[in-house]
Amino acid sequence: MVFGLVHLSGDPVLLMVSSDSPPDVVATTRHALGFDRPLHVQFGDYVRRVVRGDLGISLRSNRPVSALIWERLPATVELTVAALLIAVAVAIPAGIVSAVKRGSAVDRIAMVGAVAGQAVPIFWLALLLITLFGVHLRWLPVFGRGSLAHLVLPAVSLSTVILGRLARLVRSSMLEVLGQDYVRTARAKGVGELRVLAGHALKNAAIPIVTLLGLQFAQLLGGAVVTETIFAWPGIGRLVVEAIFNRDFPVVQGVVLVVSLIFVAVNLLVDLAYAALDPRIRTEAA
Amino acid sequence: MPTRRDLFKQAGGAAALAALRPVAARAQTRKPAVTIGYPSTPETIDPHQFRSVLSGSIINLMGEGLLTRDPQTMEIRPLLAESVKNLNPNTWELRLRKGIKFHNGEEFNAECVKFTIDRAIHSKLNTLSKLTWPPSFGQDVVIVDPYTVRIVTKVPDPMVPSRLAAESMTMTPAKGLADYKEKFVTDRFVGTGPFKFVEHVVGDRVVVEANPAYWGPKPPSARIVVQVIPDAATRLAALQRGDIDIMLNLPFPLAPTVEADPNLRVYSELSSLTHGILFNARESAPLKDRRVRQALNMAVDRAAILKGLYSGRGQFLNTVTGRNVANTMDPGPYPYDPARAKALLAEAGFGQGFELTLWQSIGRWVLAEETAQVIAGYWDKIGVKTKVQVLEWAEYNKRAGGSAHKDCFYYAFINGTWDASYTVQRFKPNFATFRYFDASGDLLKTIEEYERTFDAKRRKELGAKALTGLHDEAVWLFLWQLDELFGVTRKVKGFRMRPDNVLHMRETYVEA
Repeated sequence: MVFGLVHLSGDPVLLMVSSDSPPDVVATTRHALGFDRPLHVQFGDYVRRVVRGDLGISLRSNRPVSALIWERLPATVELTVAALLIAVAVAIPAGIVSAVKRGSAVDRIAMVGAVAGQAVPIFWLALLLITLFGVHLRWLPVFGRGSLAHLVLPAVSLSTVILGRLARLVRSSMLEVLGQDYVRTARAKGVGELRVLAGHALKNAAIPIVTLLGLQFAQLLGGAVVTETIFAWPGIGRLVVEAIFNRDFPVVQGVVLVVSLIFVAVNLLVDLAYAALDPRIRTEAA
Repeated sequence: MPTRRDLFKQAGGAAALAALRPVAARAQTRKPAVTIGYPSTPETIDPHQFRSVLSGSIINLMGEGLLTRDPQTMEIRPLLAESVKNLNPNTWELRLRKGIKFHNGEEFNAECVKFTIDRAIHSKLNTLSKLTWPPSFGQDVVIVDPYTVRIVTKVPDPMVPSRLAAESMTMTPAKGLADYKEKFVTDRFVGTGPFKFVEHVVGDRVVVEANPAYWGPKPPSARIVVQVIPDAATRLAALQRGDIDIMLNLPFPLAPTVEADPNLRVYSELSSLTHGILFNARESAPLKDRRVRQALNMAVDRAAILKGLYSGRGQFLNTVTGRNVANTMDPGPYPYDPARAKALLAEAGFGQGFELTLWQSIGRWVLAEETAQVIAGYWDKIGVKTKVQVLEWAEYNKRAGGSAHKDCFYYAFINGTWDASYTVQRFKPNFATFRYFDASGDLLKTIEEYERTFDAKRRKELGAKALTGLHDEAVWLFLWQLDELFGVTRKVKGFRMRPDNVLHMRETYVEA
């Protein structure tokens, strides 16, 4: 499907040759790249190469697509994991506190913050953070990848994409679980509140949270484009957007393939996590 | 209690230290590296494949051609060739400099010239060189001796020195790149220039370092880092922090921020890009009439647009070539006169007006979409109902080059040979691309004679005549050349942009 869609976007050769190039140069270039063959032939050739691990050559940089992806994937994984960790570290406690203190000022402030976090455009927030922490306070670098300090601003910006949604999900899941009989029983037995929340309630509320985290991880891997562009973070989000604008088909196809595989792997891990979290799923499977 | 001897020793020591301090200070007066913030990634470091002037500027640090251009006057000067002589209309002889080595130690000689021209022009590769010097000229390199070559063309070509001075004709080593005659090179650059290739991390940076064996003046910086920072606000923040020393593509609205910072300054040069709206005089019925095209020129208040949208940063264009280009001239502007414009339309039989589509590309040129909207408004006022249609760049450019845009469209041209002929030739009926107005009669004869003429004085006369003719025909709505703005720290020295937009960075350094 992706193969068909990228070819629908137009002729890549037109972006590789100058608008002044005579028709014979355009034709020669198209032939050299194999774009004059029927689409089904090109697709068959592509599939055969992918099976052998060859993702093709970038039309723009003439470098192997696999090399480009492997160079940049670690950066995106690093950014995504950091953003998720920040989101989890903030959203889960916030969601729990909101659920426990439902209706209180703390609950209202946390939920307003969550909604605001979801509503704020990420590019605006990123530029605000750059101006404050990078230019005025000079605490943190504003572009590139290197030390842990380089990771802070982009990860914080990216975490807001899921932080609000996660906090609200944690709150609603916890509210559902806190109303259950076994929680009431645990409290009646004198179990400490912290143990009730962490040992009983959170564990049972975890399944939808894990599902969301899994989906977000995979989504962020392919889509942290705005963050990567603003912070000049050398990840695959920027790579694929540049490739789309330049009609660099092999790169687009390669990135989509790799991200899809990661998406499948993450979903598998999420499914395995269900079994770890919920003994009933383990028992049914057995 | 210190003795007199002790005091003399201390004084002597202090004096010695004081004498050494300036030497030590001089050694530390420059930062070891210059860092330049680029808005986009260089697409390649292949010496002949690159497309953008920004990539060409990086290649200019590491590679050299037979000829080059003075960064201020744009006069052609010898570089790897000591001299160039035109023996007859089809033959140019170049004597090469001796004792020059490529970064891989290979000697530069006539074999390298032949290899380079074969690779850049006669190979299967899609190179920029083929645009600067089309294979249809039939270039052949004849090796006379190891340091003398003759370039023989099938078609008389007075533009050979201009073509050899282009960055796309960088000399390459015949042995060192022998395996790359028919394929692009991506992981190294072997040139003769003052800087050597260190690394190219695609999408992130290019690093070059000073070549200790360079045959010419040693560069003042040990290293130049080209750092890709796509977002303009982030690039500015990096400049304000001192993480970069030079920022390219400073947007007009951010210029006051740079000007307000005591550590920074705005450096600006007139860009060579010539902006205009091309009229399809071949297919659009109203636009076939010169009076209509002149009316559309007179209907637009260019001064108001330049001031309102671009803060006045630019200069008007009154014909198809810009300032400073060889053999250009300024025939004077069309006045802003809507009443006269309406009168001309009436004379041409369009007193009731007509409908027109103005095509524009998305995000290609700064504020161009807004400009198109404003121009449509001016044309509406004289009765030309104008609809602005936008299109994604690749399709837009395909139609533009394929002569397929109906009515009129916005475009900005570079000048690849720095001669008026680069743009003027487009108006010949047999030109392969961008055919929207076919010169005929006296104008066509002038253009054709200009292309064939070698005499410099006669070329200037013919160029002026051709440009005046194209102005009188109002082949475009002539717009402007805009200033190119850079943010620069005040400690940067020796950085400039050539009139053709190539960045001259060989002499750039940053005071410590």
